[in-house]
Amino acid sequence: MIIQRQAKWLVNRLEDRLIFIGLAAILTAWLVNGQRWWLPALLLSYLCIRVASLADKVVFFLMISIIVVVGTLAFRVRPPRITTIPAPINIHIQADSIKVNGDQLSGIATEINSKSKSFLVYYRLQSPQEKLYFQNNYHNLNLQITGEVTPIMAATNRGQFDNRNYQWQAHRIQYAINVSQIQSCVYDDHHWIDQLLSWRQQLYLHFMRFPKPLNVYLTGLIIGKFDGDLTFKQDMSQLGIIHLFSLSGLHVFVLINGIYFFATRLRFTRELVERWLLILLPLYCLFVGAGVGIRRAVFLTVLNICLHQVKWHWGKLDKISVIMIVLLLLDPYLLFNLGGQLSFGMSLALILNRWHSAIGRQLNLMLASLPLLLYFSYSWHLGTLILNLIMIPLFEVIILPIIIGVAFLPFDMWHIHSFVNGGLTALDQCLHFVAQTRTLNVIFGQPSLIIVTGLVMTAFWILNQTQQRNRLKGSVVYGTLLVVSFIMIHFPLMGQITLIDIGQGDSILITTPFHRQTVLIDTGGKLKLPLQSWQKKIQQDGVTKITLPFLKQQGISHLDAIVLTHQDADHLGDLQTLLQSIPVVRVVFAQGLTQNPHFYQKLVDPMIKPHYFPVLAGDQLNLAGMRFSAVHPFQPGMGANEDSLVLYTELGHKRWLFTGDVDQAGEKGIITHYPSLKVDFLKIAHHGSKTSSNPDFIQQLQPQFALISSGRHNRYGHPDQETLQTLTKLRVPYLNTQTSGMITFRYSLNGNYHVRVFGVKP
Amino acid sequence: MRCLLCAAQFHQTLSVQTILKLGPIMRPTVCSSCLDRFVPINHQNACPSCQRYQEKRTVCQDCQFWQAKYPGESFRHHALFYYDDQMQQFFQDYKARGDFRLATVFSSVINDFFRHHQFDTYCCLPPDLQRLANRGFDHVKALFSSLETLDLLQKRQSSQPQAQKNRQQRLATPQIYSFSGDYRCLKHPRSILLLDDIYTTGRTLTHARMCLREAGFKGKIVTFSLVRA
Repeated sequence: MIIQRQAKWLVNRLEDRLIFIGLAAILTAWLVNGQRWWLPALLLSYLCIRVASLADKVVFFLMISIIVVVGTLAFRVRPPRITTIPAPINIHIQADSIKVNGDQLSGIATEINSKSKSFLVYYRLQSPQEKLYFQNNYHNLNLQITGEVTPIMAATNRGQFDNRNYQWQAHRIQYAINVSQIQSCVYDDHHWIDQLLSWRQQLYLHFMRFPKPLNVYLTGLIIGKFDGDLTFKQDMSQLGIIHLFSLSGLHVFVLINGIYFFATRLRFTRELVERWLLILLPLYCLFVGAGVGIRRAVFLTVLNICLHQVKWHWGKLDKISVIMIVLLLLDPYLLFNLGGQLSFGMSLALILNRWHSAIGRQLNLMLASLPLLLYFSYSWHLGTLILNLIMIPLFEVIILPIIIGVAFLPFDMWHIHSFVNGGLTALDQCLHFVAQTRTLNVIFGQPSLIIVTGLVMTAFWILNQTQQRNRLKGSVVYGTLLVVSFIMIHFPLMGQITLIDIGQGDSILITTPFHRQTVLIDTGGKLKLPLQSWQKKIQQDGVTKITLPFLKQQGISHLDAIVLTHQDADHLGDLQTLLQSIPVVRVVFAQGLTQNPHFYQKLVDPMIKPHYFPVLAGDQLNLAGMRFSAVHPFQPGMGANEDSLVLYTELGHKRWLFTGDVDQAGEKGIITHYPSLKVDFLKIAHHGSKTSSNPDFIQQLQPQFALISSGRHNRYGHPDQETLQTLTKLRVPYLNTQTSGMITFRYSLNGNYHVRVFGVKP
Repeated sequence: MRCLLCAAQFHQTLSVQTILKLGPIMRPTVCSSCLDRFVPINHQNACPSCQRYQEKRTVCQDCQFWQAKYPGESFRHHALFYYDDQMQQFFQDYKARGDFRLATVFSSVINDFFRHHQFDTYCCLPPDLQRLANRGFDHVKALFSSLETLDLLQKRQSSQPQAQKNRQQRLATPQIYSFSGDYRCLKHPRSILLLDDIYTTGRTLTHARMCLREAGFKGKIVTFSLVRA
């Protein structure tokens, strides 16, 4: 009784003050584990002053304790130093994490002896039979394996998806095990959570037997496992409606409301329904994979039921603050991804929103989400606002009920399935068409964190205003911030020369300051090994994974020129993808390359036909305001290494030589034809192979700095020790993408240079 | 939170400005639907000088009467609400029955007003001592508790409260206030705001105004009442 009275007192005391404690929790989590610590530190200290000015000791004390608790929790889950795990070991793989792609098996596992540590598991399947076994498996597996433990690779390029960060924040995983041999394999579904996961996988396999794209909707909307193909996913995230296809908070609320609706129709009492929901919802949350949105929805429903039981009334702002605090205490990384930020940001925006019209509300949600979308995906589709207005009701009222209905139909009612499937196919095609319309997609680039914070705060200020004049004022500030950020990205003060870390291969981006012009030298690519059909993986190539996100992050929406040095796969293997995904004005290559049938295949069917420029040594090129001189090859060839196009240029008063894969003979040819040629920066030919980089050549050029572009653990052993010794002997310092990741030189027109490597964290 | 007037549960959703701005946050004591039932004064249909309800925006007869009586004065009065049944009920509960909690009902509206209108000195009209003893609190001062007020006036013992007189009797009331404050308080301020709960004929506020003049105040005197009858 006394406890209840004290709780009541505390609740009354904290009423409509909980938002401060929630904000403190968020800022602390950001401060401990995020980038740019000074920004959250500044905001947090302001929050402390603000709460102190409330002159409420209880609130202040609670805020300080939340800061301390979240701070320690967040600090404790920082990644520890990597230690090695002995092999062979016994591991336990989660049933619903097993994925089979071509001949690759992947999953999430825990070590059986120390349950706490989890890691990714990769295994190369040996035979089609083995593949079939794992594809149809829905049990949790206990495996005894030998293999190699490696830390998960961090991103090595700007704009690239950082798997290491993602795995740590989403699953607390920092190692991957590359399994070389599986010694034994047994089922283990004893734990009740394992049983739940096994059922989930069973249902997943059942749904996957439905025709496409119905199966994608079924798995996404019912068990929260969104497995569409890559283009579909890309299209939907570009349109900003990807959250509709996978189970989210929005859908869970619709489901719960549906349950209440039908239960009351069936004359169940509300109390009974609430009691069942209280038991079933947390289990359901685990079953569907506990995404942030789902966690928020389930917690809110549970909180509502509890409050209803004790007959307390709380405001919406207090409820969301409590959920924020509880979820952050459970997982300090909750808000480090786009999904979490959007889920909480949008519900907070809806609560604070004071515009009454539906369009105004949707507009406000867009204003609040736009900066986050730009920060994480660098571009914005103009159709997003309208599509959300149409698609949200469509999903909630039509698609979700239909999908749930279809899921419970017996499997042999195929005509209904094919009817629904036909409708969904038509919908997908419409969406694909809209997504592929390039003019609607604005490539913005990545705005800075300060501007993003400013934009989000302004958006919240706008949506909270009731007076037209104040809204207008806020909109002007918002627009100004957006335009300033756009200008900063698209009209930079500095030019850059960037060696993209594309793996084994070359890809170099050159841009000019102010009115930015862009030239890409080579695209990179992978040598395709012959594979049997069951071994073929569905995967993205280097251009899609690395180059295109980097260009988007820089706000580059078209290339003024692509230079192709020669026809090897590691230089232009991904040319076709690039030409299909981004408009290119000119393509420059050495004469004779078009005679090569391999090369010609790659130019088939690009969306926009660029102009082709075949060149030879002695040709002067004016590419997008930059002057290049070709110094090699001297006669047309077939595009082999020795026919490489070598380009000389001056950027910001420094001389550069881009050498492609030219061999020692070619290098000697260059110094005999151009005996007075000197450079400041030299791209070492052929990834540092000893077949190139003749000492006489380098001695004559007298470079200040050398650059090597080669892949990690490449099969050719590039760069060769011999080349590195030559460089050391001639006292030429060098950087290699193999160890430094992406290497960027920024220059201004007056010749100031500074170099920045993206860095590979140990 | 429970509304003091209708006893219903209600919530306050803080605005972004309140969350970010420094300073304490008031908890409202009445729900917005109860507060909305009081009729705020519409300046389009009010006397510009005393806020009395009328069709035109010209100075009303009352004000012309006061102007003629005290030619040297410039009369300027602010008020927030009209006097209607709802307001009558409120004052019945607050003043007659003495529900002290109701003093906070209008505090957010009053605070909003004084955020935009500021004066050098604020002075509440005091009740006479006997009624103060009966009620147990100063009802005017309680309404304006967020302002720093000075006690400059004292009310003489009167036989009958103003509310129980008719209009003629009210206007005929002789001076009921005397100056009780420190005379030095009148030297510096350029403007004094006189605060009262209800403005009916303007007699009491004008008495208070003249009392200050007799005490030697030369600056601007503006009057304010929560309600204009």
